[in-house]
Amino acid sequence: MNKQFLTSILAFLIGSSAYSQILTSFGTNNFTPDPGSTAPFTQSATSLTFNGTLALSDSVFGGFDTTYDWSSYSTLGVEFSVSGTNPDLPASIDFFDSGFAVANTYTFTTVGVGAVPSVVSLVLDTPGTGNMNDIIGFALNWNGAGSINSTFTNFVAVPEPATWALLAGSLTTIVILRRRRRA
Amino acid sequence: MKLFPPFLAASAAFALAASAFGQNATTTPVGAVTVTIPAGTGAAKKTSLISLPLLQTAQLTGHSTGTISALTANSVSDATAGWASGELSASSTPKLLLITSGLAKGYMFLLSTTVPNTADTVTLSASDQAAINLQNLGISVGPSGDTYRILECDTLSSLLGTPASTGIQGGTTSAQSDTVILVVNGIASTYFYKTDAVPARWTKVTFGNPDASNTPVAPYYGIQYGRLPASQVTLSVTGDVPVEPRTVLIKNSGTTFLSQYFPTDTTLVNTGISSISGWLSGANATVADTVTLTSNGIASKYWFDGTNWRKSTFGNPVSDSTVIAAGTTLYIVKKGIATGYTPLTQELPYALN
Repeated sequence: MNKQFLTSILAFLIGSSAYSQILTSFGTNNFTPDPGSTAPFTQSATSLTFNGTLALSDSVFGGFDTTYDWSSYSTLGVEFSVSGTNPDLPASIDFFDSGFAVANTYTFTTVGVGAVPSVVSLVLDTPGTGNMNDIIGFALNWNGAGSINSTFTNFVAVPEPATWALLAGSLTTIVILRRRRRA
Repeated sequence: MKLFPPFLAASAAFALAASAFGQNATTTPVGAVTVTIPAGTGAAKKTSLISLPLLQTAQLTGHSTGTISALTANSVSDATAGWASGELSASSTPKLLLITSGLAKGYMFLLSTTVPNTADTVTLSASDQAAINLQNLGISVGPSGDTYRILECDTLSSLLGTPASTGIQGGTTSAQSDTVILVVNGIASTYFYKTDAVPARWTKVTFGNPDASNTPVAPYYGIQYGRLPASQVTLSVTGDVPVEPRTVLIKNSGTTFLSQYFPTDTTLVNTGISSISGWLSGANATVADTVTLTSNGIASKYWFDGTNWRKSTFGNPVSDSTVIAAGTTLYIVKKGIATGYTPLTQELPYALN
């Protein structure tokens, strides 16, 4: 195991959405959109796709098939891809608890996302009054207008910088120990 | 501010002192401004960007004007205010705090309706707390500290009423109804009057269709109204004209609705928008930050090329003098991923002696 190999493993993990912990999907296997949703979308078993023209404030909202406790995750993210031209749209997500109170409101943008699914961190905008340990649904709201072909696959927990530091430290320790053993 | 039904609007319209629209006045002009929402077609909505260009001082047990004695990042105190507990934090009658002197003169904040006010302290709303830290604005405190004024803030219910009272169109879905879009901190939310709720009420288009009757509609918010029926809606807002400059926050990326806060017309170049730090100029509207205006339901997009405002249409004509009418709103889109906000200060466009 040489230094280049370790570096490439680390780079792969950092750049990979696979390392993020998948919390739940946007697909029909777990999420049921409310018929009052205003954004044009289609849904498969594992994903939700916006493919068309979005107006300001178009949204998809609805409920999960179960409740989730996401209170221990300090950084949440969404995994999605954008095919074709990316209109660089701002968006936000409200998470609702079982009392329909907004637990938190997060923002994100499609900027920089391409055809390969990427994890984009959610930025806390406004704390709500609901409980993150009792999440029953969400609203994905588009805060800009434009044409987009975007497929959302998963909500994820994004590893913290401390987690990456721990991983890097562990790998470095392994390298040092192996070198000492050889010497 | 108060909404009059259309049949009363004609008699109330433009009682505002003419001097407010000219150059000089000896007292703060008080009156009404009529805002007309164009008719839809009956089958398709017509979109209008409107705003509420007048202010109304709150009637309180304690002081409605005073001097700031202390502040934190998200609260303001006046040791002599004498407010009744909770009188500035009732959800059905939200209040605003306007800074009226000092370095932060012209900033306006929505007060919290979840944290009750005490006899001497008010707390900012969660949305304003997310956007600003009061301690970074250079506000002076103490016996000779900066001054403030407490204002009434409309809600969806108080401003737009019901189908019976104002002629707005309600329905069981947003598609069948007039719709209102508010943008707060770059987040756009759609509302409509839901007729199959018990009782019928304003609701937000989101999970659970929550009661949105008490949603604040501050004078610094812009409003996008989608009108469905083939008849116009006339709003008459009452109050007095702003007498301070206005400072408002523009989101560094994404969408901001900027109300035409003063009850006078202005022009694109006089808004000062292209002068704010970080405003992106460019060769066309695809690469530059943009401003969209509506007139009779027709939207026009503009951008700044570094020298002039231009309209995104055939020939891209110079549009510096494009008129922004009183009671309208500018739909600003800033490109990129920059976080935070940039303040825009607009001087008083009229003189008060």
